[in-house]
Amino acid sequence: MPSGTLVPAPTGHRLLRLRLVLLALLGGCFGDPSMQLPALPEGEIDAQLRETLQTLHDAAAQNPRAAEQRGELAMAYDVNGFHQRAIVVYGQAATLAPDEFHWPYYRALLMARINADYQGALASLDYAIANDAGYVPAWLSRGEWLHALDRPEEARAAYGRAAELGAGSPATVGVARLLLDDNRIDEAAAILEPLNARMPDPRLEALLGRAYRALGREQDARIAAARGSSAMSAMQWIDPRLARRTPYIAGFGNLLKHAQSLIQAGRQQDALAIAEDLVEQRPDDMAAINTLVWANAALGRIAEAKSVLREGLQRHPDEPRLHQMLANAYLQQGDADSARRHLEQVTALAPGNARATEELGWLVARQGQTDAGIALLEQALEIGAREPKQVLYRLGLLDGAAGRWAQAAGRFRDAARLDAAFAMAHIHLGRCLAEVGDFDDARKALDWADRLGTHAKERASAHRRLAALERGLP
Amino acid sequence: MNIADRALAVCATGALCACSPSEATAPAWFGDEAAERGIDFRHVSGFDGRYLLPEITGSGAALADVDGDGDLDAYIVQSGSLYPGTARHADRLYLNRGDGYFEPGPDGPGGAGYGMGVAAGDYDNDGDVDLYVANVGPNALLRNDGSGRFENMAAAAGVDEPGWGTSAAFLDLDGDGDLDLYLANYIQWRIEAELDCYMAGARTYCPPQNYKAAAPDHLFRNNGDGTFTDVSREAGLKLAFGNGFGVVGADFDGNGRTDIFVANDMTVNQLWLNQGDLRFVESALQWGCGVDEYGQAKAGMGVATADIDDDGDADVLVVNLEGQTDSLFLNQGAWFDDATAAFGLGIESRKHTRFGVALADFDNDGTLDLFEANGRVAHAESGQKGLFAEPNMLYRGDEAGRFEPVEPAGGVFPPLVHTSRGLAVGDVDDDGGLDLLVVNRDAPPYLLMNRVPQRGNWIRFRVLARQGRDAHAATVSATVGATRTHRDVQPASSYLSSNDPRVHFGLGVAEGATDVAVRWPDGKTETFGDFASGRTVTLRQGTGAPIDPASR
Repeated sequence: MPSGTLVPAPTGHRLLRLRLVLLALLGGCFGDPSMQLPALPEGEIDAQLRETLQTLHDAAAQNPRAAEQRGELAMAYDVNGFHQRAIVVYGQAATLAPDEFHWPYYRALLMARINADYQGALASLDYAIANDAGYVPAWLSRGEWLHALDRPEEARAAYGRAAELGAGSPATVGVARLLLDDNRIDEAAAILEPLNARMPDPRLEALLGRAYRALGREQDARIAAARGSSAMSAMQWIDPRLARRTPYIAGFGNLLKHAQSLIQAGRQQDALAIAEDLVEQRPDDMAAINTLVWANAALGRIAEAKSVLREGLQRHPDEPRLHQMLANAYLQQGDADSARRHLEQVTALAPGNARATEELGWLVARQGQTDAGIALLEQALEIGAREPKQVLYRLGLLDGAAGRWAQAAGRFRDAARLDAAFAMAHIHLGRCLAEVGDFDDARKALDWADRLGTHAKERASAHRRLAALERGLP
Repeated sequence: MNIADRALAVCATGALCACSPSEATAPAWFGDEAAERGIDFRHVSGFDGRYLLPEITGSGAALADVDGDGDLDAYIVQSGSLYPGTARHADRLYLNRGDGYFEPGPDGPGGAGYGMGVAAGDYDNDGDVDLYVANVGPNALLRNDGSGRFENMAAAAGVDEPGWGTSAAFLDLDGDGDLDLYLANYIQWRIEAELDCYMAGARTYCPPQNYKAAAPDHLFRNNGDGTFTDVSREAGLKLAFGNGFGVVGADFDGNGRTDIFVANDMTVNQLWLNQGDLRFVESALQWGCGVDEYGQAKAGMGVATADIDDDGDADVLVVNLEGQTDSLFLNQGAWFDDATAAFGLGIESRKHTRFGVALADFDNDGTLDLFEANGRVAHAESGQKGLFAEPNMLYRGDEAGRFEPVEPAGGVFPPLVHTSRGLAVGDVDDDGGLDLLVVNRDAPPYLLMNRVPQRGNWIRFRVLARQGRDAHAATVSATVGATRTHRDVQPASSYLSSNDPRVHFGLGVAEGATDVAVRWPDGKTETFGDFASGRTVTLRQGTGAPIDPASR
């Protein structure tokens, strides 16, 4: 059977043959050095992690024919960053348990992600699929890897199978990518547009941007490219079988990363327990403190978050990061004066901190000191604000509120130029241009905002104002 | 696949099978001759167990004729120590004796900071090559007295920018005849605010996104009197920036002005399109070269530009982190297509973390080849420190337009495995084969001398602006056989490094290049006629026959 076609689940007869083959192989395997467990990692490794690995390694060594023990060791290697060892031990576990899905599946994922060995990954994946042909993420991976290997028809078949199994959007995106690479741009756009209309997503926008560029739809391409540049995508493959590996995460750094990913996944309570333990282990570790504060804040436990920070500041009164976090906590509670005090501490301790400078500027301006706020926001731009378009937008609002329409228009124009999909910047640009009597350009800005389609109320208001000013009304 | 095949599939892919050691099956393209040719430099990262981020980024090198004797000398930037008050480790200059062998040059003032990158160019139009050294800390502008002795003029010239500078490029961006200076900055980093990160249970270097502190780049206008003015704000550079590493300049939109592409590490790349009068508009997302096809920013390290598909415009290759493909952006006139996979780099390039990069015709067959200098940024999983080394990669460009990996890895047998960073390309022994200088972290550099068997014919052009200096970003076009080929004067590219400014054409079996023309950075074009192979030809602005752009 050529690789790439669907792999049927083994029949009883086939299973018997497989086991005979494997038994024969295993007879040789145990004399084969490659069935030996890899040596434990050396060097300065976290003690808890070392102990976890040692325990699992010993268990696997004492039960050389037990696939489960090898699988557990492999999972521990996998989730703790020892990927080459994991690939080897997953392979051994798969050999010992030929009916098991997980070991060859996990192995395949690592071979592709870590080693870019798509041929090897596909072989291992097909082994897994033969044991369970109904797992959607496996078919999606198969499609992606075949695409990478420039085997488009087989990739399309894999995505087709994933779609039959209910994969939904990810399979459609895979097919769209194949169409784009095949220069079938219209077909790709026809698939992507309704999907994006139903469930807007940066990934889809990015692909649509590519399609629109190729189709010569320059304005649509600009908007899609801007919308698609967001780092966060809602469209992720959900792969529930990966969760089996989670209990094997060990060691300070790995648990820290795990806690952070749990917060992002909305499991703040689980993250909180881990973060509390980590801060107890290393009370001066800023990343652990940050994670604990983040988890508390995400759970609405602002008082607890502040308590953690105050405790940290008692030990490290000149640590700008603690002041910054505390300012954020105060802001979340609406205590602007306390937030300002801590932001001023940050900018005094770390004058190059653009983020604190920007937050302080916006806060100061909202407290009525517009000029001081503008000066701080401009300083933030100078030293490197993380999101210049947002700083420009705020500066535009402040200039606009002061009736400096031309200056405000310049700020909004710069913000809109940076992000063609920044609807409010385009709307305010239109509004400011209308106020200075530049009706043609105002209309162009509002037309662009109309094209973006969001913020209907604000657009309608800006259009009304433009119409009124064009009629000469005050 | 039958059942036995399935069982064996696991074995065959690594679990049960031993691998035989790689053997050389073809003559190696390069040999490392750094030590025997007199390069006794050893890079010092300053690592002492704390994992300070600049230590993992390495340093760069320049291949340029600093003593004006017609051959390429080598300037290698030293990193040193990040701790305040510690003595500066000196950069090293090696002067070429004329045969590709080097002797130590005069001691230089170097810079005051922790060394990173170097740009070469005659900024004061006095006929010799000056250097700009980017540091963590104040940068150095090294004015050349013509013999390779340098004086640091950075403070007086107004370019002693104190941030974390990485790559820089001397380019005449306003067409006024002198070289302006673009400086990429990485992040806003302070030793007292260093972060802790972990990998596989051990401390390691943090990824740049953890710092959330991208640093704005700078554009310095050359005032024509030996000083510069920081015009970053007026130019628009304060509005978009990232963790800048690699910089190249070329006329990407074909409007006769030199644009700038900046490869950013885990932040969106920048494409600064030159509007004239030193005004730039950031257009990377619009042009499709800011992020990958899913809208994700990759870890841009080094960058190279060349007309890869021989269609007359400048394409871009950005090299990225392990697990991410290279990004080969093919210029379509008003946007870039990501053609990485189509050029054969979709899988192979993911295997290493790439920094230095060179698109050059090493075998002189008329097609660009590709060399990538590699080395991890997070230590290998054994749990031991300092294991960042990886083999480099060499790809041969084939006539079908794909890059095929050349064995042995990196073109050297046995493969060299260090933590490679900066990479400069040039013909150091003037034998018609392009050589490579690769800086390795905490190790000696490689001087990879070209040994490609049966290289094709070649011709080389020294392209000089009216002022007598190399005409950075000028494009030389020539007909070779049936192909119209375009190559730029491109010293500033790769990673932290500066290349031979001379323009090299591999000719294959052709005996020469015909209808040679230069498009100067001011947008004007002159033709210079036909030239036979095997020599270096000087093309001076104003000495060719001017042509009307509309007639081409």
